[in-house]
Amino acid sequence: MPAKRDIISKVLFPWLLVLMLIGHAFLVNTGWKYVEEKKPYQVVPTLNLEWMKLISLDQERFVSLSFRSTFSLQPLPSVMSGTIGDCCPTCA
Amino acid sequence: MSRIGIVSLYTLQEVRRDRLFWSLIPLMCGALALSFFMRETSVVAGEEAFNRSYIALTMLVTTAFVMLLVVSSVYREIDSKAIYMVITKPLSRYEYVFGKFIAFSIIAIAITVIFLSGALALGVGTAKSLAVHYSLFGLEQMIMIMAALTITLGLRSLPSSILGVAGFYIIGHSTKKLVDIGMQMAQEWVPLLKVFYYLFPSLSFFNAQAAVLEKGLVSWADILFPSVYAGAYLVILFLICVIDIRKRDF
Repeated sequence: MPAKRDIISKVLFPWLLVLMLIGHAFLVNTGWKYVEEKKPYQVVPTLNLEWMKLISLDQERFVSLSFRSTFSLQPLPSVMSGTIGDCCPTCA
Repeated sequence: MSRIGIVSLYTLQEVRRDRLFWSLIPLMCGALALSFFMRETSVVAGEEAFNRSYIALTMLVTTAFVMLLVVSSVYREIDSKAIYMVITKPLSRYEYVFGKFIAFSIIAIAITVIFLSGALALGVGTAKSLAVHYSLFGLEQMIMIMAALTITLGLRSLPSSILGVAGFYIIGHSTKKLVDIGMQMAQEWVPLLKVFYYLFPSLSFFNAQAAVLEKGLVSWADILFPSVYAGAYLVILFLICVIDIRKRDF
């Protein structure tokens, strides 16, 4: 029979850790939903410096942009592809 | 003074005596100089280049500097056997870890406040958005400090500890992106990526960079959820550390 102190460290701590990890998974899911609903992707970099990607800690925007342009099945908007007059009814 | 306070105090004194501590000054000057250089690289968006660089570089410098301090401090105590002088005193190992954590958190918060003051003085963003951003960054630093303590006390080797902390930071910043990319490109990898997603912290929560740079809406309540999350993850790391070093003979 382990001593009282050992019961805390051998039994309680590991189970508490498991419970906390489950709580963490819940917080991650909840948090991302909250963040995505509140702050949807809206940032478009205006700089044309490739190496800014290397030093920026906000890599998400670069990943999202390159991911969109490389793997998206949708064609790019005509504004981005450079066709003048196709972007909206006013221009046409 | 409590035993935790004494450990913190002596840790701060040791850090002050460390030559590594004074490398903060050239690092700060370098970050500032590089930000000014970045302003000159663009004709039309010089201010934006400066703001982006300042925020990114100050975060990078603080993280790298504090992590090096934590790893080198703990590793040196283990390597020189000085840790035996500490753990043979009437002091529990939890108090030792917690005391170290408090000392390094004070250093990280002090550096963050200096960089926040610099950002305010240089007009990088509005005062409120900067305060929220750097508060979130302070929370991230606390998670990273506890992670560095756990990893260094667990691995007890300088190169593997540095690599471990760097890996933890990189994975922590990319868990969500990895799952997103996996969903689109390789569905079969998603369960494995989800393991990382649920085990490692999502450090991207601790960032209000968009609010600072794009002058977006920001409120003090934005700190609330990341604070709860940081508290939960600190408990997880503390438990891992405690379970690991409970009966360790170092």
